[in-house]
Amino acid sequence: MSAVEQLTPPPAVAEPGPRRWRRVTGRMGLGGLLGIGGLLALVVVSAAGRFLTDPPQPDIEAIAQGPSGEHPLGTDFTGRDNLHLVVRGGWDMLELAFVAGFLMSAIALTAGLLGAYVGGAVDRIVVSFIDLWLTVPRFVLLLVIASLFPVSSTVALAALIAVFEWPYLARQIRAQALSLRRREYVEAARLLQLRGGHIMLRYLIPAIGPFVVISTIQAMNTAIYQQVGLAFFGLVPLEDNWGVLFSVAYSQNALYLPAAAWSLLVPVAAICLLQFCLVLASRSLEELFDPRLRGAR
Amino acid sequence: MSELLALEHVSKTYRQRRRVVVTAVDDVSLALGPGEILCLVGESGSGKSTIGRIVTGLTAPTGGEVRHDGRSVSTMTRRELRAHRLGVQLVQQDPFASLNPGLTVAQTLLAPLTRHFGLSRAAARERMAALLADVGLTPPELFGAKYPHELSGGQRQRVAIARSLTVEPRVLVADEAVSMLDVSIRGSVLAKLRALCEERQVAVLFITHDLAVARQFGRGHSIAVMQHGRIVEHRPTSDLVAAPEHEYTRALLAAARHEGLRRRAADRTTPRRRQDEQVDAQIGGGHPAGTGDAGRVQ
Amino acid sequence: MIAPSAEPLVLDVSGLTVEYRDAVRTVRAVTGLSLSVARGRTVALIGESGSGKTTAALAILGMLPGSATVLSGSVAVTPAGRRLDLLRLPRRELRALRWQHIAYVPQGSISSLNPIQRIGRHFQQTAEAHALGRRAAEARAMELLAAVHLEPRRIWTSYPHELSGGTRQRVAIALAMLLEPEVIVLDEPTTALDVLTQEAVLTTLLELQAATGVSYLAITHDLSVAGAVADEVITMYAGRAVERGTAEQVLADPLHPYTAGLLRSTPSVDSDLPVQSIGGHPPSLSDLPPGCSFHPRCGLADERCRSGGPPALLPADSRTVACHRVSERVAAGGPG
Repeated sequence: MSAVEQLTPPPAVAEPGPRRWRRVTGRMGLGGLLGIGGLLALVVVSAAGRFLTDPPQPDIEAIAQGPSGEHPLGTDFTGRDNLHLVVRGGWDMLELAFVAGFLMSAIALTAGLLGAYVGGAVDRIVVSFIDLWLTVPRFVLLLVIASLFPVSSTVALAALIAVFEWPYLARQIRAQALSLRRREYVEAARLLQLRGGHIMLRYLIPAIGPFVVISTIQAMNTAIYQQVGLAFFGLVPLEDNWGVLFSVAYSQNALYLPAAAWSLLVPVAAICLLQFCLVLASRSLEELFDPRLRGAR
Repeated sequence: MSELLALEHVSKTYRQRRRVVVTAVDDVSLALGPGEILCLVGESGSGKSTIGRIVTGLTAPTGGEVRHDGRSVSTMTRRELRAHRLGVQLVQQDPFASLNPGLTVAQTLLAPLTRHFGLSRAAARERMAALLADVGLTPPELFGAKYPHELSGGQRQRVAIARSLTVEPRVLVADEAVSMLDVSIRGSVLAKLRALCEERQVAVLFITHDLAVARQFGRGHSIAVMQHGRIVEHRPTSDLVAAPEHEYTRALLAAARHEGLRRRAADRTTPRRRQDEQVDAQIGGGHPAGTGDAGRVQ
Repeated sequence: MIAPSAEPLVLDVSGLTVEYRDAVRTVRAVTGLSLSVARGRTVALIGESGSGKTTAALAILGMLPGSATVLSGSVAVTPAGRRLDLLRLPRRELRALRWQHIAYVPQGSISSLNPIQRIGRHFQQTAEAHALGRRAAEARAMELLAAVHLEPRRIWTSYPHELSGGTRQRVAIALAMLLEPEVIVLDEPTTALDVLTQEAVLTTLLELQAATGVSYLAITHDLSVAGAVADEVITMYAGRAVERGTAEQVLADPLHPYTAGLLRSTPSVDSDLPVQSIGGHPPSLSDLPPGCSFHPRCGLADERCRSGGPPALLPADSRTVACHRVSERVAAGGPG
């Protein structure tokens, strides 16, 4: 081994891009690639629909029709093209899922780490609050709040959902952090009195990060459910997103008109597709981050 | 010898469920002077690891006091306490769990150096290279760039020793520091640890379940034997091994020498061809302890 | 060569070679291992991490994980005079033989006992699987538990977690004896136990052997354990047997530089001399040095050790050793 080679950092860092990438993709498997690819495709298509097209116009000549050459996925009760609607309605859905997911993780991470690391009274308060919050029928409360204080934007709605759904995640993060605290190398870092920020950044977050990423994706799924539920009760800003499309179609009795059923099925299928991609992505990331697999490299 | 760190009548009890109180450490007193080695020997559950945690400050005792330079830790200001704690470092048992898997050796060693000595990047690197060379990881540039998973168990344990020495401690607690290493490399790690501590006048509390290892590491110093949370015998190493006073120490020594088994082995050296007699021979007492070839094996 | 024992062989392994494969690489964990265990005898396989000793034991028991393949070799047993090769036996017959002829006491008996079943149930299940009557099984289990110095009645109704490590190890030994096997594979029989318990468990193992004539194949990294219980010792390094002889010969007067180094590395309560360790560290099986695997750590190594093939196991001084330098010396008739 030459001196130059000796000084090159180990492969985990300096491995040439393509090879490393191939190894990562290899470990994610087909499902993971489908999930992440599907999510990217959804983002691109939804962005194009939102920013490059105008809202579809009602057409009283073509109300609640089945698929045809002109309208491949049929039309809704005002004669708007279902395909166009679903493409345009995705952005709002994604925005909500991402904002709510990240907010939820942020709140949960703060509360969970605070409880685990400050300990004592702070921990007791955090834990009691989480337990209390978990016993509340949150969706019903969310309905009440949303009807009392109508939310005007997607971001506001996402924030509301996040505030309601963080405790479960926070409890898991706290448990992880507590076990991490007793890990030998973390104890060694404490004995060496390394800076708190350093321990947080180089010891705790790398160990807990994968879990948080996966939970964030799952939180996105939760947010989608909540949003669809709220839309069903007509308590969300009418943005023509998939949840709203679904609930409007339902309220227009699309369930009972075979031709109009398309305006119901199309948004439901879109929601399912998004959730399916999220689940695939989170499962493959779980495998990717699995320490046993990481140890094997 | 001047006293550096001392435990005075220290106890540690845990409350398990409501009324059950478990005593892990029961009225233990011991003292360490600069450069002194004290081997703490005991079986699992004897309280030896709890003593180690109390000495490092990871666990607070429920009774008695810990003194550092003659001052009780409980009367120290926050600042003094931090300085005291930094002077007591730990080398742990499991070389696979004791290093952060996400940091290179250099990152692991540089953090405490830059944190506590206000060193420039270059000066800290120099100090790190010297430490790596001290623990036998040469060339330092090569090992500095490695991640823990690229090192063998013995190399990791050397890194852990180097890490504990970065902050120039006055006391080192080594808790089963070599028991997870392969036999063929234990000796070199132990010798390195001992030489480094002698050189730097660092006191060592060496915790082990293995009397033979304690004998090795603690030669010229002392061994304390723990049982059920108490120190049952604490004497200079050679005296304790040559003429143990407590019954428990004697039992441990006999087990370490496999005395009972030796006797049986001596019985078995009579040819086994006489199969019919083997059943009668099953309880082999009365024969003198084997001092044959097998006796040289330890 | 070791004088052939007058007793019949209960286990005869020859040329065993095992590989592990995954997507990235192939690792040869055991190469050409041969060993035989005579009735009533104990053979110890000594080695450190990565020596292949555990893989060898699993291969002999037919318990290798799916990622492992036996490339060659045979594991011969002779239940009731029939010579069978365990590696070529249909799965069902193998399972039957596994307790009746060859039994296993795994490392760390906590994991081998089902935590939600009482000890008695473990004995019953093993008996049921091998068509041993319930009554007979219970009677025999009681005898065995008494033989390993436990209170049979109390143990029978206990759960594993209520027992100490030493007691669980005794239970595992009694369980292994239930169907009167000819040979028991002991994987690190005392590693997780405290010193005093270790001693007591080893004593019990020897008592059982004296009383029943059972044979042991003990896998251990602890030379003093091997010295105390074994008749024959095989040192393994990097998947190969490097020295093989009676325990007295190998452990008192080792010929292979690795065995000698191991002995010098083992501290003694009766010696003040600093132990010497072997330089370097055990090689990774996926990246073995060319020539003799031990040469990078060996003080005797010369050019042939570095570049030639791995040395063969050859007779030397009434045992066998795989070392170019030792064979050379023996051929020259020089002193040891």
